Amino acid sequence: MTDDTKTCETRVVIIGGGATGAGVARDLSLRGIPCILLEQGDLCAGASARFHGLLHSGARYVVSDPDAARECISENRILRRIAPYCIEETEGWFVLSPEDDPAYAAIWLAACAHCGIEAVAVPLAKALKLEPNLRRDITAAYRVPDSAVDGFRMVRHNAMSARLHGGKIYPYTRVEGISVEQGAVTGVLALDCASGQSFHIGCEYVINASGAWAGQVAALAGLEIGISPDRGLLLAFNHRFIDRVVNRLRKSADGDIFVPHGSITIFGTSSISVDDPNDIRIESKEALRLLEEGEKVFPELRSYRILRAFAGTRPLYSAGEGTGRSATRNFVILDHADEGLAGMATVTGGKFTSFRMMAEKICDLAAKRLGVDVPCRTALEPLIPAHSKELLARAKGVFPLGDSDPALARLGLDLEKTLCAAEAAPWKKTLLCECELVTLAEFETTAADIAGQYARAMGLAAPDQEQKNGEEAIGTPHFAASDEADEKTQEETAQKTRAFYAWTTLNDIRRRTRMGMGTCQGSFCALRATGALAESGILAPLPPQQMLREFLEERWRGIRALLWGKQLREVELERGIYMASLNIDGPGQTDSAKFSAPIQVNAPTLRPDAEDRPLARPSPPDAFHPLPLPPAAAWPWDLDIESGEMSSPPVEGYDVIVVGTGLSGLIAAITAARRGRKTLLLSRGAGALSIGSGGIDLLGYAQGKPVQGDPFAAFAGLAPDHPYALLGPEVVRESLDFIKDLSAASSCPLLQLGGPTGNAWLPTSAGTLKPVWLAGPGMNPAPLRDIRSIAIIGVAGLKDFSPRLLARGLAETKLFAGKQILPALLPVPPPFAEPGGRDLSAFDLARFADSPEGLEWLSRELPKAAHGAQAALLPAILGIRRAAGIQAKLSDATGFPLLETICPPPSITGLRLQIMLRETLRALSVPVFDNIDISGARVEKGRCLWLRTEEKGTERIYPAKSFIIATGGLFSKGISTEPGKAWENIFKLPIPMPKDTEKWSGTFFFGPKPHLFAHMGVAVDKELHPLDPGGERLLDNVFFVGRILAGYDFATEKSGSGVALCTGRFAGARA
Amino acid sequence: MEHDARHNPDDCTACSICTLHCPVAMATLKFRGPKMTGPAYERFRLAGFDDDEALQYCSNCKNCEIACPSGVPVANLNMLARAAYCQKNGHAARDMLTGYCGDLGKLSLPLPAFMLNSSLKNPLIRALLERVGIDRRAPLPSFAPLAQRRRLREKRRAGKARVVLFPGCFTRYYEPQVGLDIIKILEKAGYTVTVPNEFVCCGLPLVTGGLIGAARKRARINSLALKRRAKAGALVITPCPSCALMLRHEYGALFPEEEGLADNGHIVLEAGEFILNLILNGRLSLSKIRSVPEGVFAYHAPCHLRALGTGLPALEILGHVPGLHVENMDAGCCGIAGSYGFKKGKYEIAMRVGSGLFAALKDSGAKLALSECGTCRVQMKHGAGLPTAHPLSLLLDCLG
Repeated sequence: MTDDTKTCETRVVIIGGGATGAGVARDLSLRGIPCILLEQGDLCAGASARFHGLLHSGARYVVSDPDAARECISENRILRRIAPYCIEETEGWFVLSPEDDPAYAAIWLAACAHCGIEAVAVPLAKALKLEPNLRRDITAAYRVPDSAVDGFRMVRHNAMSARLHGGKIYPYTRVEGISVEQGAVTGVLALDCASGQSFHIGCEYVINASGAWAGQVAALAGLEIGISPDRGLLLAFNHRFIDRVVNRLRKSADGDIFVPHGSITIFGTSSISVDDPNDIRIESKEALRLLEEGEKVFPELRSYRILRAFAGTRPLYSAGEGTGRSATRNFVILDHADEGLAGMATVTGGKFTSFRMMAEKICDLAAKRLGVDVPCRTALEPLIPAHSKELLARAKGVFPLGDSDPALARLGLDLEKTLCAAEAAPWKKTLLCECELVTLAEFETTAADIAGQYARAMGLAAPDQEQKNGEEAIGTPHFAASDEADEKTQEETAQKTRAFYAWTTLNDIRRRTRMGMGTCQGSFCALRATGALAESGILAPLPPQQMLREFLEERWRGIRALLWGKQLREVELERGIYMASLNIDGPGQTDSAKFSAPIQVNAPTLRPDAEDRPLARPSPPDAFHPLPLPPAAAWPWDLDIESGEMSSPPVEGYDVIVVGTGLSGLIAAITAARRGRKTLLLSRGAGALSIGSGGIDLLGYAQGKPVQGDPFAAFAGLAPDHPYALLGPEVVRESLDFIKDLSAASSCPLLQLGGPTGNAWLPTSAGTLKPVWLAGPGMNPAPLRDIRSIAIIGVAGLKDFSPRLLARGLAETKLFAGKQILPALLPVPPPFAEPGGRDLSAFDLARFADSPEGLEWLSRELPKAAHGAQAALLPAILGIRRAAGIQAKLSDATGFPLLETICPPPSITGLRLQIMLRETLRALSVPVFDNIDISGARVEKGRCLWLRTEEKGTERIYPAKSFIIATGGLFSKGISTEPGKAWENIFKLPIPMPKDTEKWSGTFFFGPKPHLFAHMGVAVDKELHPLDPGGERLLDNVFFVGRILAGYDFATEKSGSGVALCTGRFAGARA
Repeated sequence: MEHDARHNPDDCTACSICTLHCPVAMATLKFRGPKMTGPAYERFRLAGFDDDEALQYCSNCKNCEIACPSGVPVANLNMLARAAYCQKNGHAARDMLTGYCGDLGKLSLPLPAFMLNSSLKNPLIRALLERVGIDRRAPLPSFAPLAQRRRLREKRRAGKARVVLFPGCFTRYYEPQVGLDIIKILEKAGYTVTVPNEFVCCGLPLVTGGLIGAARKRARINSLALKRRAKAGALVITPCPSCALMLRHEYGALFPEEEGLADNGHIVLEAGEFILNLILNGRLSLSKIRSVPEGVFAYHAPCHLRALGTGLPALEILGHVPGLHVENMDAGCCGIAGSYGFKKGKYEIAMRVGSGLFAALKDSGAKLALSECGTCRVQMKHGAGLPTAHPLSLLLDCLG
């Protein structure tokens, strides 16, 4: 201990902030014993939330371990009573599938009876009706009192209860040493991970409740404990396909527990013995093995969207005996006095269901040693008092699901604060996370509570000044300052602390609110959350962009091993938003090393080394399938009156059929129609234009480095199969001129804002700059060059745009360096003042701006918000159909230039481009067939004769002379994937990919290792005709255009719309 | 296209493109929008959370399904959720009225039109209707003269007619002339057409009214009838895109648990699609055009026609008539969505939804507005003050 080590005193130090540790803290606090809980990460960061969330009835253990079973059923009953907010009383079933041994069922039933666990047979017909997704041929189902329990909530509510009764909880505080004097523990040396400061806590007793880390903690006191960490993998599914817990009725094995959890289903687990409790890696093969097991109970399991995989390490206490499945699930209490060390005990092993009893037992021991004679009360009092009727009534008006909203259970004691926040500013009912229905109010309350942790963490340096829990003001973090302490040190520490929490805060909030844990896995809410933190003033000196990247990297860890099907589509959307549109990954936005240093450079994505790129010259894929032929019976359109025979369809078709209404499809159709070709456009979905940025990105990055100067000069460095390399610069130039001319007459002309030979670096709503070749006049950054002050103006309730987030990020960039930046919010515009069922979006505001009232309101409000700044940066909301005019009018009315930023979906700039192109197409009288799912084609002798839809009983066919396939990539379903397999969707062209899904991607979402899947696509020749793996042309009259092409990564290169434009233009000119 | 509405929300990526294309969301913030109401809330409905009245804002126009890049059956998810909600919380009287329009129409069959229509125009009756939730201002359609309604019924012929007309409730009760016109066109191409009485209402109004059980019954009856017709090698032609959508695609999507309901949907074709192909195959000649009416005709594509995935065949047909000037308004949904715009609390929304189309119609200088959908025509007339017709009726005028 050095001299400057701070000290404080308590009676008991608890090590470990999982269920057991929090349970111990509550138990001691209820007995009136002062205690401090130390957790190295966030509460519940270990196994307590990394399990299936099953509150055991004990039925799983009745045969193998009757004692554990009895313990479970007893605790199960207690927890259901004291923790109703953490438990969903689902009941559970044990289901016997035909593969499993019916004899075991009989043994199991007898054992259930023996342990006092009620197991009742469910009639099969009823079982299949109640759980329609179960496999149809199960042979038996038994009901037991299993339930679902929320680990995060249980730990947090225990901690809340402990704090309420005087206990102190210090997350992100690592135990560095245990001081022993004369055979007795005297204190604990801890490190505040935030400030990097060590401090000593003097105490009489140490309780080691660190689960799988118990061995490591005990070693600090020179003790040895036989803990064998055992990793279990779990899969979280996007929806609830069951209403109750489903166990497979067999001897406990991998993949036999399904638990419905709020909006999701958790399925697990595996059991792999590991050396390090921190080893929570996720492996594809393990996940696939689980799915294979799970399919035996739920046959459709593979078709369900997996949100993510996660793993936890069980603390199995071995004492030299079995490991893995054979090790006992019972807990042990080790009184280290038995080994000659007084004042310390360890509780480990066991399972989540029995955490309270474990806490009770070890607290009994500790109390006895401390001479305290107060009995345990944890089984008698509810964790959190039930919400009052008054609060429930108020909740009805605030939360999307009223007084039954899951937020009520999540928030616990913080409910009232949240209600007050939402009532004071109704727009805070806005859903920050639309997938898990988390309101901005809940987010802010939670963030403020975590900000309170800063105060507490700082308070460690001067423990007496620690604020009492629950008194932190909402939204205003403060740092307990001690007069005695050296102010400078204090400030330095505060800086460090804030920096540290900037790294952790979003994930801490996520664990408490479920923000980012639903369908989109952060695709939409991560930006909003970062923005909301910026607005509430909690942000640290670190660039928020870095925090955003960190959050998305964390989400990526759970998805990476599952990159196929629906998960991969979501990832593609996320790459589109954060990389292609918002460029939060790209370096070179600033001169300052500070900004770009922490960003991992997306290094040579174009041409990785040979072993990294089976894409270019693939290892031989599965046998190349012959192209499928449609069934003989075709179209019943033409009915011969005499014979009653149905004849084949009209021979006379179209010259060109284009499939897809994204940028490449629209450009191809317009080009073909302008050449006088009889053109038909088939579409399924509205195309991805309205989620893109609306500009034309030519090439922002090559070989992972920002393109300096003329992007055309960088073409030389592109791989030979890059679409630009195939087409050559002249085609690209002509295409760019084409769209410039085409748009010139419209209300959203596309201009070359970066001068004749360079990219323009335009501000995005993530506070970054993005290299763009063509963009609307609303984005012209030229007026910014000569001004000294600029306002960044958002709109209250527009959750996708945070002025402070932009300010923080942009201040670091070349464009804004040295300028005064004034963030401001406009009030909620009058038509949207009454909060409705839907949140305000950029689309609503843009339509409002299109109206005379909107224009008038904006010209009145903008100058007020701008506070005399010389220009204003706004979200892209300045009208849809009259954008250029509105921008000019408003600039005139306000007297300063107004600029739009590149925004996430719904992208108004993208929508303007979409409308312009669709109107051009209409003027050319090109028919558009909406809602057509082309699923096959007829090919003869290297030519496609027609495309076809597949419908029950019949199909429609669409003949033409040539076909342009603009069906998009992974997101738009031009390409489909399964584990280890990818193919194009109409002609079923196989796309060679490694069998091992983990090789599809690099370790990190943002690089530097390139992602193989990002380059996945159809290989084509210089005419854009598809090639077989041997390089031979497959189809003479079929062109592939846009994102479906192989050889480039639209997201890291910022080249998506450029490639779409040029390939569409080229194909339209040739078809 | 073939969706199983029992399918879960898993195909949704939350991209929100549907919300951008939802006419109702555009018109009011009260509607949570298709993504939230459909797949996002579905996850919570599956978890046992109760939904609320906001479910009623979806008009089932299906623009979300058309816009969705992921093939999520958004509107169907909404309709099934609404049915579950209504089952739990009771059905509104007006939903019964509009839902059972087919049966009510049947009751009206023997009655002369003036009796029916004068009562529907009677302010007292409208006040009464408003009490049960039909907006007083709603442009309720007028019954056609009794004789016309009879004439369509009399097209019920025995024999081996290979083309069957499924007129749909609107044509049957309000505009039988549309059915008669289409029969005439088909007869010109040499077909014998029958209008059998074995079919009942397609059930779509029941689905949007949350009366899914009654809709299922209709689906059973119709699918049996389709089975018989399919066996006889017949095609079923309908002037109503919504009926076509329902009969062809939605039985399988809404009632996947019932076997056989979807088996013969493919013999159902929207009339325009069939007639366009008669023209393209040379079975119906446009060379003998008798007269081409002058002036501009404004065409509005019903949302459900776009959802059918067959393009805009009537527009193409009229494009083949030399000298005929038809302009595609392409101005979005008209708002009515069957009976949505009749309902109290929805009338204003429907009028806002349709405002773009109304303006386009007025600006077009057309003297006649065309659309395949009966209720679209009612709304177009109400909103833009233009007389309306089915585009195939105009074709018949030209053919003479």
